[in-house]
Amino acid sequence: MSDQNPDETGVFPPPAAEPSWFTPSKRPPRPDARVWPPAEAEPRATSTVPIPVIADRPLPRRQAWPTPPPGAPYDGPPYAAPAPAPPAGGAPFGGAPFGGAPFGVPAGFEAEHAGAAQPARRRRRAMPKAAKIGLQFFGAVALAAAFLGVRGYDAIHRFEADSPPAQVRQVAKGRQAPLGDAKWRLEGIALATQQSPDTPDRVMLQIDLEATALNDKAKNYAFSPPGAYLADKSGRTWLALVSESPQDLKPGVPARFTLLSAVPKGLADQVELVLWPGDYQGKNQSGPSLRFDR
Amino acid sequence: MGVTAAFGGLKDAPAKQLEQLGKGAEVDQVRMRTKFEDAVVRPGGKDGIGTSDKRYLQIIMKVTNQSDATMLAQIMDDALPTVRADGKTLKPAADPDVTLGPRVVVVSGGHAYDQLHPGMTATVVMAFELASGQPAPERVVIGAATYEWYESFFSETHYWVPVTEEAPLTAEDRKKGRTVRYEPVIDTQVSLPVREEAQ
Amino acid sequence: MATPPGLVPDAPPLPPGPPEAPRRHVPAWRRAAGALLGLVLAAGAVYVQTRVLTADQLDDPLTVSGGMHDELETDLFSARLERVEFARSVRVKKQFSTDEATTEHVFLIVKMGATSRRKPVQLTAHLITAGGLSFDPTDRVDARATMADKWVQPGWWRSGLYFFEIPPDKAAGSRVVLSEPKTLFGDAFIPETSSDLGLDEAKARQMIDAAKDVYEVSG
Repeated sequence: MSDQNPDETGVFPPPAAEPSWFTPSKRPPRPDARVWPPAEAEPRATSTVPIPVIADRPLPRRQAWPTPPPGAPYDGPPYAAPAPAPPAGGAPFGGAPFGGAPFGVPAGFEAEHAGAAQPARRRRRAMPKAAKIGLQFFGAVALAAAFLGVRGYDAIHRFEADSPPAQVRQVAKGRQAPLGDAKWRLEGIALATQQSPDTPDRVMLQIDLEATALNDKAKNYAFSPPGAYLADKSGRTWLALVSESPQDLKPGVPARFTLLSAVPKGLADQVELVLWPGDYQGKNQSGPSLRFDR
Repeated sequence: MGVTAAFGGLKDAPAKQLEQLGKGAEVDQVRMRTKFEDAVVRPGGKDGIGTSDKRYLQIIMKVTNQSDATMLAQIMDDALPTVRADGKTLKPAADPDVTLGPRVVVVSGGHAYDQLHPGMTATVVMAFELASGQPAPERVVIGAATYEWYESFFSETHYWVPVTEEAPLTAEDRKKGRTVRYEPVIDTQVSLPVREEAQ
Repeated sequence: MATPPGLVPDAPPLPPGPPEAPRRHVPAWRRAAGALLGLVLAAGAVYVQTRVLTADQLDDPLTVSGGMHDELETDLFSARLERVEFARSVRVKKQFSTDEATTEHVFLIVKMGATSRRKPVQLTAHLITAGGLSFDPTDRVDARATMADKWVQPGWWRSGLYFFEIPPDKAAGSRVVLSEPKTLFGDAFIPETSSDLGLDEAKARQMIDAAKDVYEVSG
């Protein structure tokens, strides 16, 4: 910069014949003026941002806006300066904080702030320490419980979408009920003719089941029989395996399945037949099923 | 990250040279170590492989399971993604409808089994059926992949997968509307002479 | 500068506040104790982070562990280890034929008893060695001759065998784990029992040296 012509303005002068309003002209020399540090701290009144007025609350820790004596450059640390004594007499607020409306502050402005300051003046009583810790503790417990609850709900929801819960339909004694591609009727549960002597604690039961096909697809039951279980009152179940299945299932023609199942001896006359449309549903115990009264 | 940066970043890693090996070579595929012992064309019916009226090209290997769990011998079908016989591709099958690879079994005591137990070495046979009257190839070239213990991005669980790289799309992919295709990286090729055994 | 009357008045000089309470003097030892407590809490928080389960561990089953003859009870079934044997080969006698299973290693034969809590279950097993290797039951012995094929039902105990083909040096310190086979869409948190075989180096060596040449089962 120093080697440039100080008179260079960077603008081509217009031809002398055409005088223009922007014809550059020499600036009159100005006297040196101090720019930095500013001669005095800017008075707060020059701020365009409304600064909330601090009421006569207890003294804040940090004394903001120290007002240096007029004319003296402010060069101390910004906040460390001690609060200056209120200038005698000439101070706009005098001793009373809201003594009036100096500098032409609108009356409404002052009234509003005075009203806001009023409730703030009441100091809230500090919460007892025990109550505070208790509140934090129960807050933490409640949040943790809510988090786990949401996760658990999500997991259950997904599990149920994959394997729908069982819908058991109770069938009265001797009645027929549809399930899958056939209608089913329990003819009876009786002691099987062959009992194993090695296992005196359990008995073999023979279950006679009548199936009436509803459609052509029912013939699949001849080689993939429905999932059959014997269940006691407490929800324990035992496998009932097909020992004899019909050769063919024609729509409308009753056919008979014979199943065998081993159950504990004491439960022989309590267990009930539970039927699922397939092996898979029976294993997972999900979806529609029939439970036959005895 | 620092280590990655120090070695010049991931992109600039030098491309691995395709290693060419011969009979008796041993290849470390991380999940398993494979020794290529022999390639032979013979009729089936022995060792529980095939039937006696057909001929099979059998690649005979000694495989050591280096993972920590039992795996099936059929995994060698993925571990050796390409097999060529005299320049003709046996695997992957040229016909896209053929999705089943060759049968791979563990042979022991004249029976064919399926399991490779951890830390144990077993004789593994990969068998390709030859069409009747088809002459035995002179040489097979087998491409071996490497496995890595891969962490799933979504579930953060780990499992073994062959190291793959992006491959050019085939006409089949374009027909099916696929936009990317990954193929196992072949770092090692093993070339075996094929001998023929009568009956 | 000619400042227009601003919106905000200059801060009123604050009235002298209440006399400042004399600062409580905190003894140096209490400061040190406080710093130490803070350090311990921070270190504890960092340590707890190292105990966070990985995604693989979160998928692990819920394990009940025990030793020989211990009745291990889970929500689904109970199991106990009844006997451990070794054999060089296994002969499976079937109705019309006999299968012979041979090995270059050794067969570890585990007899397990099990009963179910609510519903019929089939239980699969695997053997975990001291080094963390996981062996599936061998396919050289037909599964129909093993416990894996049997239904375990509520109300009574049922016993069966599992056959493992292992290197003889891996037997010491191993344990057998029973669970329901994990299915893709089934329960993610399946229970399992883990029975320690109670084999130390010496006992394993002695038992393998005394292994039967042929172990016969019907299946």
